[in-house]
Amino acid sequence: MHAYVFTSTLKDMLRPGRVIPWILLAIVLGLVALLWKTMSRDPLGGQEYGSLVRLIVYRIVALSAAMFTTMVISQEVEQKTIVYLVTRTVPRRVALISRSAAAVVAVTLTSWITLIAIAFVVLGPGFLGQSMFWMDMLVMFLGAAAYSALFVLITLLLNKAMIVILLFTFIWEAIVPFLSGDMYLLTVITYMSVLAAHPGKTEGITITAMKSEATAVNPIYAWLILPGVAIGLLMLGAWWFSRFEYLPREDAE
Amino acid sequence: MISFQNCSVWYGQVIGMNDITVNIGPGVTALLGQNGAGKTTMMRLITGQMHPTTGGVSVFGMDPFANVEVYKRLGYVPDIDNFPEHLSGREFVYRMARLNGMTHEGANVRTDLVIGEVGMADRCDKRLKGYSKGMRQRIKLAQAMLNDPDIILLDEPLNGLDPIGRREYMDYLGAQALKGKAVIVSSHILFEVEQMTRSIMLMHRGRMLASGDLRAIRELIDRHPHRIRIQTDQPREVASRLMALPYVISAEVDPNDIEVEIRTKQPAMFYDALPGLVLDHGLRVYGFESPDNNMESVFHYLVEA
Repeated sequence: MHAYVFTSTLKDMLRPGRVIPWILLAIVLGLVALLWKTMSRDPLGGQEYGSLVRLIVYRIVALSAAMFTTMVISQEVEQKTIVYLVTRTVPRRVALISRSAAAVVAVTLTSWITLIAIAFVVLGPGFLGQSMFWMDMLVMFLGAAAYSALFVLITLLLNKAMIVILLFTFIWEAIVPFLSGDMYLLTVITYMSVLAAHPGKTEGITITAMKSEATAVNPIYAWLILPGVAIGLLMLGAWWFSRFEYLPREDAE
Repeated sequence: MISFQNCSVWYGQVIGMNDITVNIGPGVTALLGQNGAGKTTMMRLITGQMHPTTGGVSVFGMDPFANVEVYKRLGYVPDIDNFPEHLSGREFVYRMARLNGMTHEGANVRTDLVIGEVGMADRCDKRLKGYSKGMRQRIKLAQAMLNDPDIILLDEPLNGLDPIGRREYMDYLGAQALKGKAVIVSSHILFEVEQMTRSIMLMHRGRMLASGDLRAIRELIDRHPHRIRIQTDQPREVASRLMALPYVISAEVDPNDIEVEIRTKQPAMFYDALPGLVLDHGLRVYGFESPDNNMESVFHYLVEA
């Protein structure tokens, strides 16, 4: 990895104008959680926290990955500044890995803001002492890595990548876990839910949020699959980027 | 330094470059052609952004595609006018220096140096989004010069520069060429590059129509007689004397009686004979010029052919 490419990309991604919308989103979602808490007859606890994280915060990870991964290569192609990246002495594969790593960090940080807002509202000021909160932090990092690697690869392969990425985020990831059969194994959120092991489910550590107890994923596999997918797809993307042409968009079409 | 061997590029059904074989060495070389002629495609092949569909390109004897060894010795001023607009000129050039593998200190030193060389020292801390077209061209040149390259490629570099800036820009490139570097300038504005070099490569619809010295190319175009204008206060007498020469095809006297324009297919012989003719007959000739020796006419002759 190239340290300067990583830090300069991260600096670009975390410019105030790009982070403020995620802070506002976290505030809005925190207010929604507060409304739920206010209108609930019973006090909210770990189970409600887990539901909110699975239903909302993990989606934010995917959405954030969709936004930040376009800045890795796709946006450079669209804005025609790709030429300044690919004619430098930093090898293409190194540039791609470094920029993708910056995207993973940006995705993780921006989605953590929402997690903190939800955790603060639902679990109260003592949320920092809750192990499930810290586990969610880790799971979201792994999820961010997997989503980012996948989305970067999609942006390398397709011109209109954002449409495909948003379909994946809001259709595939939302619906497939509910389908019968083993299709749910092809979703990132399944493995995130398994690793998070939020309370409220029988054998919670091995059951996804959406599937019945019969459709278990061994958490050991989940620990291997999420980083494995991230690294594998990232390497594939790096190989692809170093072999194929990336020209300013008007010329590429 | 740069070699194309039977190089062709296809964009789907459209040909971008058609079977080009050419070598480019040190000095200023102008890459001429109308929009869509294939100039930018050629630049992108040299800078390793594209693969040729058939044939080969080599730069310093290497395949340039994604080749960092080539990029260490190559500077590129692209035709695009897009930047990370939130950065200042200095930040942008510094960033490019770091992406060229320089340390923080080294990048700062080189950034200051090249920004000074392109005349942007007093304006480089403004954000790029506030830059004029001419300032952008200078910053693009600055980033291309960071690694003191042996090959400098400039795609339409004079667009947007004012006359003084243009002159400074051309002088700077001329000085680089004198250091033994290869400077390749693409342009569709002929008179601009004519002031920089007589060495041209002329492209049209993906084909290389001609390459070499402008005058030599002109002399090879025998389909179009060479025009020579002679300033004199005896245009009719001069015309009649010149018409006696066997290789002069026609002579036309200016309506104001201040010059005569002759047409010949053998300009070298004409230039050899002219001094003797003037001296032998006591003709008063104040000057002569050839409107055909400029790029514009060569370009039109070749394209029309």
